[in-house]
Amino acid sequence: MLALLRFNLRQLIGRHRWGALSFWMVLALLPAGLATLGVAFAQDRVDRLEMSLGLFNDLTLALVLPVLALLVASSLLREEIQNQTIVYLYLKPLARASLVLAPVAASSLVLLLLMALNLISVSLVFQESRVMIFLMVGVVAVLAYGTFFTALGLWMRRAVLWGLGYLLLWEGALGNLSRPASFLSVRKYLLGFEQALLGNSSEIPMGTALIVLGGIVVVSLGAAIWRLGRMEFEGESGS
Amino acid sequence: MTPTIVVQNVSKWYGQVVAVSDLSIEVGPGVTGLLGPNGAGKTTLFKMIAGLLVPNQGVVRVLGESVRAKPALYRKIGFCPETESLYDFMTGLEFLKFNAELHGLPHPDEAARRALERVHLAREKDKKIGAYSRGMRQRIKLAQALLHDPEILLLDEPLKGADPTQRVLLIEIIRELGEQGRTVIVSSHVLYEVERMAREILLIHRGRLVAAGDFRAIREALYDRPHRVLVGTADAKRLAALLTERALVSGVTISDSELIVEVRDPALFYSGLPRLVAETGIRVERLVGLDEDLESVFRYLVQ
Repeated sequence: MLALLRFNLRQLIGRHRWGALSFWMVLALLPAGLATLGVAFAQDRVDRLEMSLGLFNDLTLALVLPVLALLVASSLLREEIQNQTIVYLYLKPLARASLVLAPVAASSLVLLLLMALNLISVSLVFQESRVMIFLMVGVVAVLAYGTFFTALGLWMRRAVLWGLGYLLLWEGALGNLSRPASFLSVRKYLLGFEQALLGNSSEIPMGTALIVLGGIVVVSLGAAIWRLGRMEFEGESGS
Repeated sequence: MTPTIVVQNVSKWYGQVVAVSDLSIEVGPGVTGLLGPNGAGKTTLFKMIAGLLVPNQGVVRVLGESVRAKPALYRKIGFCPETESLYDFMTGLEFLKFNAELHGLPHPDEAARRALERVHLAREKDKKIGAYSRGMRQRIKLAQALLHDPEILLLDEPLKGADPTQRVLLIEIIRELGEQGRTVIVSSHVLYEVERMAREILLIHRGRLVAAGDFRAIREALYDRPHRVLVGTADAKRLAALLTERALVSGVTISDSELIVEVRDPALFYSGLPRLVAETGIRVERLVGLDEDLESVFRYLVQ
């Protein structure tokens, strides 16, 4: 398992993928950049705490983190299958679960690093004192989105397109327009969890939020392991 | 012979395309050659035995069990895939060490170095796989299949892309594996390569088994068939008449500057033709065997 974890980490960050790494970093630092601009232009006319929370909810949690999770988590196993290098992992005396858990763990570690970078940079701009709360929400978000998109990567050929569709159309557009639709989104429960941690009133109690988010993690992992165990690897010619 | 691999009435199709059709084989220790032209279903058969594909019909058993239901069996199976894809960012040593770790070997580094030496890649151990030649990539794939000392080896076109020196080495290794009592199935579409490695052969064509058994018996059956040879000459009609008169051929088709002759006894034809040319002064510009490729052998066997 440790060998697989090391291997997956290397696949993500250790093979001179400078383009991808730079893009992830830019995305992670985007809220801090906007925060700097916001603070510079608004000076003392805005409530920094309110701006910080707004930036976290509407940019980091709504876009930056899920898009990063989609790019990082959905690619690992899908690339192995497309490149046909999956044979070197699949034909080993390993439980199918470990073939899924290792990339999930590796992508979660990378996402947590990016998340930490994001939160530290934003908190430096705002002198934010609620970093620990945001970090806790971020950790839960990384697990929920990370496992969800890992499963999506195994079930769908164009996982990035499907994932973007889900984030932009379902969570972004429909979730804002339709209340029932918003209850079928990961984001709704993350916001409920966050509000509960901040001590604000929320229509989703912390217990419910954690149970649903935990359920998403468990179901996504189960779906990914089930899928990999039943997958067939035809290869390029199919003959 | 106790079969280690049993394939029973197996079929596999992709939509309308049938890749393997009602195929049954039993393979035991020693080297077995799997022969067939491209698209015959060799890779599909390998993948079903390895558990990468599930048959639509029939049963595949390795050491009496279904591999897909029991990943622990991979401790006893080594698979060298046809695909050229490898982890190009790793060095040869890193790749083998990683594979050894996944197999749970107690000393992955030692096992990796041993496997590298076995395929004569020890000097290139620290070179990135991305910089390996095609033949070296074949050898590193074979090394990862041998790494854990498996009882069963499935080698899909292991000689593809290897130069003549590397071929000799690979053939030697494969023969040794068979002599050690391992079950080795090695595929190829080149007849003479398989002849040098395998005792038993399986001939498949369009997903069906067309011949199986001892190589020599099948080879004799192949040599009994008429061979077709193209002879390029400006004096086609005269040469055709002489060849028929001397009974060197059993049939002739003539065009402007070519003959296509049917030969029952290749030895007689190939020794008689130069003599005839020397005696008569007829100039032969081209001599091409038309039935040397496996496709035509299959055409004959399938008829």
